[in-house]
Amino acid sequence: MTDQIPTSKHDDAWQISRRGFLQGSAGTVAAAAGGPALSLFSTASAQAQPAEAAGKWMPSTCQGCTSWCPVQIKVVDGRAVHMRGNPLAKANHGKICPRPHLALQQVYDPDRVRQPMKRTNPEKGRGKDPGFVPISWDEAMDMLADKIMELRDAGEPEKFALFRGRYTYLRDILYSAVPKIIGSPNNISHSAICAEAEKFGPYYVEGQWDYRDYDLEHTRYVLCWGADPVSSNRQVPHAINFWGNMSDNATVAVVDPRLSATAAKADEWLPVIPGEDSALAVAMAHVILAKGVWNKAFVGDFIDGENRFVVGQTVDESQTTVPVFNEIHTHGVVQWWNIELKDRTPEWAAERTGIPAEQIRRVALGFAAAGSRAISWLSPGASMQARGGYSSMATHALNGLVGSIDAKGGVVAKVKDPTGDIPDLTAYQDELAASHSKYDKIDQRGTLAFPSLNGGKSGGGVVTNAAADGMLAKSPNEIKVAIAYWSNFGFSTSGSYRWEQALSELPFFVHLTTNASEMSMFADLVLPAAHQLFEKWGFVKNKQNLHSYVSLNQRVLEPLWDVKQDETEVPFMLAEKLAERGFDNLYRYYTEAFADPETGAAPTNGEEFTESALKMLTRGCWDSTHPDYGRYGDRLEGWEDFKAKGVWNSHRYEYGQRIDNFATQTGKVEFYSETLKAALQGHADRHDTTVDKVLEATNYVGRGELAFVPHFEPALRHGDEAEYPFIFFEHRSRLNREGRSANCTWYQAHKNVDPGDENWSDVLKMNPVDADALGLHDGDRVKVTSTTGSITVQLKRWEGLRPGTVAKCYGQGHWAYGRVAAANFAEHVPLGGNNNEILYPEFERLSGSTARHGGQSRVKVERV
Amino acid sequence: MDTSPFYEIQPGIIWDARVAWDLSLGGLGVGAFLLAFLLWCLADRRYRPLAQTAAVIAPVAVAIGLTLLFSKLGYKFHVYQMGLNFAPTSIMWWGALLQGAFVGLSAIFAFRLLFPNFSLLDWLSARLVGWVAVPLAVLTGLYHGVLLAVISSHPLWATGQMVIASVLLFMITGSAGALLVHMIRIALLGARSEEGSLKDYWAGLRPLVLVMLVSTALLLVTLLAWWIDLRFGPTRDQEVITAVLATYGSLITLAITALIGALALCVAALLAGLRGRSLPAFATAILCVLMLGGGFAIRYVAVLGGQLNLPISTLATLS
Amino acid sequence: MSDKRYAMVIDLHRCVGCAACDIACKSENNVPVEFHWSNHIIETTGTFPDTRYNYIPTLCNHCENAPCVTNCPTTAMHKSEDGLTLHDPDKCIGCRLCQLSCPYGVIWFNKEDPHQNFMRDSEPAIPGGTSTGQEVAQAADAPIPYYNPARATTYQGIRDRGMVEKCTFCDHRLAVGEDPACVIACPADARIFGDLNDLESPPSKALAKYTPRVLQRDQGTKPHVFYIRNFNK
Repeated sequence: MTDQIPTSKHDDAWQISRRGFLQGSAGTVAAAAGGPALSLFSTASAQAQPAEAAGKWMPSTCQGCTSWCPVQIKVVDGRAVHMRGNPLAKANHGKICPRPHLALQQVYDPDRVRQPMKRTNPEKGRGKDPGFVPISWDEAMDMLADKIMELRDAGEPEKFALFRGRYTYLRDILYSAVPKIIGSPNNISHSAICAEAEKFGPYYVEGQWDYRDYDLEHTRYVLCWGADPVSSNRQVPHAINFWGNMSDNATVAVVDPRLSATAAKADEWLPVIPGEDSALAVAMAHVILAKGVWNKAFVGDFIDGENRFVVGQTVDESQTTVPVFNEIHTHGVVQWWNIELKDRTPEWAAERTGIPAEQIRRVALGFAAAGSRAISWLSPGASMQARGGYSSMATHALNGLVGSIDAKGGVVAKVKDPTGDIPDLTAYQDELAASHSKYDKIDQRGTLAFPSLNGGKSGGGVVTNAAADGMLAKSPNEIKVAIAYWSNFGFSTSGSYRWEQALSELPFFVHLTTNASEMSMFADLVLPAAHQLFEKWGFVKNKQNLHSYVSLNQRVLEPLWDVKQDETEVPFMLAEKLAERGFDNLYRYYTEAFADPETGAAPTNGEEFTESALKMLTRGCWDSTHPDYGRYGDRLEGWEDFKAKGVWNSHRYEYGQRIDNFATQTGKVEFYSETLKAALQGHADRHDTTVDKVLEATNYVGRGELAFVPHFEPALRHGDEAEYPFIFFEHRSRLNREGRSANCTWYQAHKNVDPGDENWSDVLKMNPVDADALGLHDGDRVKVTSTTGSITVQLKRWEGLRPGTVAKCYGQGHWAYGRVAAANFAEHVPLGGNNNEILYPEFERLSGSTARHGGQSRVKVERV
Repeated sequence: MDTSPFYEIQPGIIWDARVAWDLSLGGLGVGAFLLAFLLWCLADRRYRPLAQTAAVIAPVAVAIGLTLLFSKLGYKFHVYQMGLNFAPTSIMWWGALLQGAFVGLSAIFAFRLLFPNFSLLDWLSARLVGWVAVPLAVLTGLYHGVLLAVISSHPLWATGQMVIASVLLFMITGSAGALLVHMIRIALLGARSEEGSLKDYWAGLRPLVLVMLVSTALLLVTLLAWWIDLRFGPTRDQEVITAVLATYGSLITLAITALIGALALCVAALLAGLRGRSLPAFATAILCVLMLGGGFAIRYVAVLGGQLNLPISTLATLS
Repeated sequence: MSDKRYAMVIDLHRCVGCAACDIACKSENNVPVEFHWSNHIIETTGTFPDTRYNYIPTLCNHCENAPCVTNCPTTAMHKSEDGLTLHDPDKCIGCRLCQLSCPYGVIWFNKEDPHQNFMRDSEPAIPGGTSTGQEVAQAADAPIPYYNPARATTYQGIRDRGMVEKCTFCDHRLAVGEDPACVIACPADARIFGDLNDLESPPSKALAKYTPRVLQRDQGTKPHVFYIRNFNK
């Protein structure tokens, strides 16, 4: 039926057949014209009957953002045609945002890699044609296995690295097992370019290295810190759905240098000067204490009921042996006041933040008046800043002052789920692997300047963006062979030029990806990955609407091309290839440790392996013999039932269970963070130095006791104001599928739903006052230059941001990825410009995060 | 403060210059027919050749206009659907019927004038056909304005001036077109014997010149009224006239200058006539060209300018 | 004879301006990327920091007094007995008078063959490594790979070059008892759809509860898309 592929633009057969399709009379036209290509589309008649066209709704998971919503796909004749939310999901209650619809254009993107390709041009670099030629999977995996065996044979398996971007929770099969069994410490995740600093504050305030959930149904005040919940930030469709009713009952205040979609609908917009969020937060805390409106049932009160939080005055505790303040569920409120807050008046903050003192006072008092039904909603915008560790703490600590942590209408957490981890693999590590996989990692974690205090441990977390520096410096060792999957660090990391350089110097690089992206252009092998929503098995776990959930990624379509599942099929093939070369540890691990939990059968190929691994890790959701079955939520009736339903829901969150049992040093909500004190001291001890020296090495200005309380830190900016007059800041798009959707025409055609943006463009937004001063008009092409680099984009005059600042959305400026995303794919010419080319590779070092926000780079703007 | 609502509608002009040509040629056609009929009914035999020319122009011009319009249709094979379906609320549907009938009747009329001795179906006399076609011609002339005037979403069009201008335009361009073509015919083929001397010939056409003069003057007044209505109308009208003047200002100036020039030549012709003299032929030709050019420019600006800048500020008005 | 009068009420207070409606509509109705059956008007007003952003979702108003229907010379554009304004491609001559007549800019004309990104795309990004649009369509065995055949049950699945096209309130979905795609796709539940002849229907109730507004009331078109409350505060 499909024996002729029309290739020419003027192929008559194609046109005739198309017309036949449109008219619903393909038969007659074909008969009249008599060509074999004429019945191309006979399966989908234009005279379709409702029953035939109805198709079938099949469940999967959207990973277009980190909400990870359970969705359903309408499948007709093996094709995906429409999207909706999974009505069984309690998290997003059957709703989806715009992103899943865009996924239809991703899975059918003509620019997807359809077959493995190898590089023929040994010279690597941007602007150099890699000369890709298609090869078979077999040949590709042979090449990769040979390179890995070379490292092992040379006794240097630590020179292998695995880079991970987005993932499902089958990730450890590739991310953890492959490097560890080969013998490398270098599995580097993307987490630190994502939002680790957003977890830092909550961890050192309430002991949770995690994102929060929010009780939108019962809240009375929502204070967003750079958060734009109706567009992004981890529960988009749920937030959109609840926002209308919520804002009937609650006040919404949005701190954001840009008039975001959420700010546009808010009661209060606080267009803070980028990077000065901590000043605003401590001033609000100051107001709440000075006005005596903190939650006394939660925090406690002065013993005699007299408010000693007097502006500019220290609460004197030295006079008496009896504490003056009877603190209940929190720790260190008086110290916080004394060390940091007493002088942080709204008038002081107004100077720094550009927000009128009156508004600061009004918002602080309104927030406090909502009692425990108030949400201080922290986001990457207010925390992924060079000095964002403390703004992360300060903004979250506001929840502590009003007692909304773990409260009805407040800030809550996940409910446990019954999923498991991959089986222990130490038995499959040989001596070489066991020793070398404990070497220092390439990402510099734990060095003096990179404490990366995930979980309170020095070097506990990843420093994704420093891996490029490590590779370039060959420190702690050279990387010779690397695999990157579901990631595009050459695009998604600030100072992205360093990745271009590091990847150019990398001797053998394999990119496992859906599209030939920026990173692929440096690859020796490009391997086509299955699309997460339609073609891949896996599972994710997350929380929205006070329910945690486990949602399956399912293969609801037979892929059109020769793509493989990145987290399971590809490592299984690699394991087979390594076994052929005499190293069968990985293969034995996969086949012995991943027997099907129902039949006990060992997997014999990648597809069986995928299913048995998935069943094994999610067993608690569906297998009534599992000890956790039904304990935390739904009791699904077997594996087939789970696949058919697609989602496991937890019970609803129960408020108040964690109070006085927080995972902090004191078990309380800590305003004076004993937890951070221990962590910083631990890091200082490791390097035989002081906490002050650690703060100095990590770019913080606070010293002494300030280190242990949420405090103001001035914004850090690169570039001299005289030469670079504008503060540049970036923001997210409600249409971004994590920077992967710019190649979708639907993305481009609706881009103006990000307030201030334009369709089919990637605009730099500038206040008209500044534009007038520079004589710039809408649509002018401007060169935006920072100390790091420059991009050329279109100018947009817009009143939604402060004079002196300019802003651009993240997600465009691809010079590869596809023919829509790039202005000229072959010549590597971007459509618009990638913010990461002008953002300095700055870090929030306490969490290891990439500090992309906070206006870290100043720029100049010139007409081209 | 930069305030500009944004609403993405289909870009580009929906009805292009071909529609302006259709309306112009259509107007020219009905105008020429009315001239032919009047000359044939009322005037001396020596004007019969001019009547013949005008009568031939009528179906030809309208048919060319319709062909241009047809060429603009997105789905031409469905054009018969206009005949199969009864769409009495649609001005365009009526227009198609009117113009179809008019082309047929005016063609027969022209045939009768050219070949008065042809006897087949002689009950279809010039008189009968002419009298039936006259109201059709007038309605068609009106139609060229009403078609656009009923489109209330386009402020430039939804005006009485649109219709009045249309009527005046067919009077001006029909006469000017017929005269010009006839002069060319004379220049190429020589005058017919019965036409007599050119001098007398023109002198006898004084009422025609008077009609052209008055129509042109009225047209200029109509244009002024059109501008006033929009300029001092609601915001959306003001936006539209501003856009039209910004885009087509020079063409409008040119058109008005041409019409004023034509007006002056008409006056000159009448004054010359009073003194027993007549305008030289080339001056008459220029007069005709100015009228045709000015008339077409007005149509062109009306059709294309009317589609400029759909006023989004009012589009976004919720009430 | 049907006694339905379909209408939509859009609650601007609930709407967050995300365009899920616009994109879902394209997917449901096989609408070319350049066209927006479901659309929006956006506007930023005021001066920093007193800046206001406004968003009005739009679609065919299915006017009771529809100028596109009045002026159509072939009755291709017509009112259905349920009050829908529908387009019959078998009668359409592509004169575009409906487009000119519509005060709301919701009618689109196929100047070229639709879906060129699949139908006409014949040069791959990386020969052998990536595909052309034509190859994807071919492999998916449909003119566009995500082609929704349900659309073709009541209208052309993909409208021809030379034809206009517009929102039909998803008449093919109404025919099988489903709400329009934009209504289902709206994550905010801002679109309230139903029969105004039923006084108990959700839109009837919403219209009774709030003061409804319509776009360009002065055009006298009597739209069946109503707006309640405000997008911003």
